[in-house]
Amino acid sequence: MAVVIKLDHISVAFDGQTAISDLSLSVAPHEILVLVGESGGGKTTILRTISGLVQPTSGTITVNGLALNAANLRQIRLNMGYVLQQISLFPNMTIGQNLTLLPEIKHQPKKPTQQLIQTLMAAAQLPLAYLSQYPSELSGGEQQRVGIIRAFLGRPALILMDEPFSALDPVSREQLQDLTLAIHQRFHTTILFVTHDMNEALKMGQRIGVVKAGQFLQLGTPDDLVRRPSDPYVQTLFKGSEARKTDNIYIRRLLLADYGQSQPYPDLPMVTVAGDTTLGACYAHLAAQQQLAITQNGQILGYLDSTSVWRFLAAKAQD
Amino acid sequence: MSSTGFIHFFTANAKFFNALGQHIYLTLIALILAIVIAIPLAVFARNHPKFANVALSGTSILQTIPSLAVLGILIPLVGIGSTPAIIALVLYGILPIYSNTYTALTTIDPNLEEAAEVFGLTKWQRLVRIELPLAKANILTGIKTATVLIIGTATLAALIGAGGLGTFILLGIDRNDSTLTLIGAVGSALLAVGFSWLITQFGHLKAKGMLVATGAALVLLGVGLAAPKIYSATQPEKIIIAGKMGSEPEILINMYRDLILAQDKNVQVTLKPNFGKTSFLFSALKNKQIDIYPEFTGTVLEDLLPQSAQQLNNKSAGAIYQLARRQLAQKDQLAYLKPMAYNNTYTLVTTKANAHAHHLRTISDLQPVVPPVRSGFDLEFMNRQDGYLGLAKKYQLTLHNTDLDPDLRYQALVAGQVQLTDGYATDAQIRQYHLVTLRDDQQFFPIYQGAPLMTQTFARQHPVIVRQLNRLAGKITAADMQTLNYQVTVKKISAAKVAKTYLQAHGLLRK
Repeated sequence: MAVVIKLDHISVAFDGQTAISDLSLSVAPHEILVLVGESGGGKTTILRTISGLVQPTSGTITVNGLALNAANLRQIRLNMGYVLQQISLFPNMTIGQNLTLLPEIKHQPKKPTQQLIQTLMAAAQLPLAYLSQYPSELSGGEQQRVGIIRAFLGRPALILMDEPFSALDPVSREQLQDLTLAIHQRFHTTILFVTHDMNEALKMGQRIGVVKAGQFLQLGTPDDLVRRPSDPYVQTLFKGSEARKTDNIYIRRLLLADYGQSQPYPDLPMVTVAGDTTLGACYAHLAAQQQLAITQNGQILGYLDSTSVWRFLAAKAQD
Repeated sequence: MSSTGFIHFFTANAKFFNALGQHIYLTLIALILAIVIAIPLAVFARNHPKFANVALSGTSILQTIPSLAVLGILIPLVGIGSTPAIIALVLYGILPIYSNTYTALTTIDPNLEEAAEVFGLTKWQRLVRIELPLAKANILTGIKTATVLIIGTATLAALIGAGGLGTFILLGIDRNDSTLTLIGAVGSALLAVGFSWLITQFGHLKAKGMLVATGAALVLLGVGLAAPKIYSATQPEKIIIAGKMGSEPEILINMYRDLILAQDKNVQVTLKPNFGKTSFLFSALKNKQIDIYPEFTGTVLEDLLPQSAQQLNNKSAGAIYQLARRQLAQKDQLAYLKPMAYNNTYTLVTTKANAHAHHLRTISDLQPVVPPVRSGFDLEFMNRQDGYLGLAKKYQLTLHNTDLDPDLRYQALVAGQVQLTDGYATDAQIRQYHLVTLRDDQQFFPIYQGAPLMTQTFARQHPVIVRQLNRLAGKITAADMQTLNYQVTVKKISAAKVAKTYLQAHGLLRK
């Protein structure tokens, strides 16, 4: 079986303190593998070890079939995308220059790169006029979208993402999660994704590794982790997040899933609610026998009553 | 400031632009060298913290050494002219560029540094594409600071014969002409403003534009450097005649040029007026950076080849000249041609009315005057053994004395505030205010006669030049020289014109 990343009995220590102890991992091509856990657990260190920023004290690492050592380091890095938690666009370059920097260094042909930029900018809903602007002229969410496009643009076999969305507001975070998944659908790039947000892990991961004290507590599919937790810690981690997750769903999602209708319900008092209001925030209205008019950008998307919401919750509980 | 001063400036603006050109040349070369040294130094220091500290203290110490001292240290090592000036200016320019570049490079967001590393950029790519562009604004600020510093310090280059706007400042101080000083000072200030503006514009350019602009500046500089050399290669032999600060040496070297060119058409004569102080000229001559300069017999014996006082006492002008000539020939293989007539030594000056009222013709005549004459002397003259201290002992004088600023002596005398002052025998003011000098009848003051000084080798190779310059021997009296100085410093006639007119009037040059 082909393997993009192979960690073989890796240990890392800082000043004698163990950060990672005897950890092994294989990441398959096209896979999105999420490392989740509390901060200080070692998940970011795993990423930094793979990118060559941290030297393992023992064990071997293979990336794309190349052993990670000083001789191969640059070649490995050039074939690896990286998205950091801090927005790391270079402020001295325009968005366009930031995007073309790596393709230029890798001597990729210009025309396909330009076409790819246009495609990805459109997918990220960024106007092409941004290409000639500087990072400081864009919002944080927009900048991180550019950061994601930049990582994919070099067509690397592997992208490392280190808590890429944790500094963003919930709306931007969700948009960027969707963007990343959409681009992954297209290129099937292998992604190793680090987060401390269990909701994000469940949404993004094809496999999820729960990291604690430099070791995997459990490594499996989201279903495995939620239904068959190997450890009480894992169980509480995902139980709580599942419950919270339903309440945090944006109300407009119910319309998209056809739970509402496009005409108002007769004889019910109406209250107007923005599309990105969470479900939890709407319960009070529904309890007061009101129907919800869901709006976005000043337009009414559709209507929901309490029966339609109950139907959604019932289907969710079946899952 | 006088309106004639401005007229003088505009008639002499060729000189101004020449000095401005020299100033820009010194600044540009020093600036480019400082940048080329300081930025790589900072880039290296960034990854070597120990070295960074040493370099920072080193460059800071350089900054604290007074510029005059730096020049003084450099002269024995590299001589005079633009080389020591440029070295000193580069030393001053390094610190601001180095410290700004170093600070900018070490304060880049570590997150960006890490991103660039993980993206697989090489060290060089990181430096050129990320780090230097991020540090650009700070580096340019450092370069601006360095430029202003260099332009200001470059005014001192005039002291060691490197030219520049400082020439105007020194000349202005020397001639007590505030207009000239102002021209030099305002000129260099405007130059600093102009350079700052250019650097700001440069900072707005894109990377390609920066390369083009730098290239263009280097090409221009190269052309500016090479052109005179290519030009001179096809030209006849070049002879450089230099003179000390002031109008009198400038008039003399113009005479030298006219006399040489009258007989020898195969040479090209370059004049370097206001070239600096005695010791600079003397070492420049020995190092063959200049070929001829006029020097005084008294200066040779007092300053250049110090003698015991007794040896000089009561010697005739001729004996003093012979002593100086022999010493120069033996010690330094220099040829000292025959001196002119005038003796530019200290003298005591009074008005015609005073001289008439108290029957004053010689210094001895002062002694019987009762009550004693009210005199005003320059502080330095008053406290020198070869000035008033020795004079009073020799002539047994008791004068009613006050000290005066040298610039105000003549005004005080003319206004009647004092009846007697000290001066030099060829001062223009003596002619200007029709004053009387008292004869040194007991030969107290040392004798200062001017004569051309050159190397013996040069004299042997140029017999025609030696013959022509010797035609000035015994010519030009003190009264003549007062008039010539008066025409240049007060009447603002060019030294070249004054020199030519004198030579023609005295049959030394055909009309």
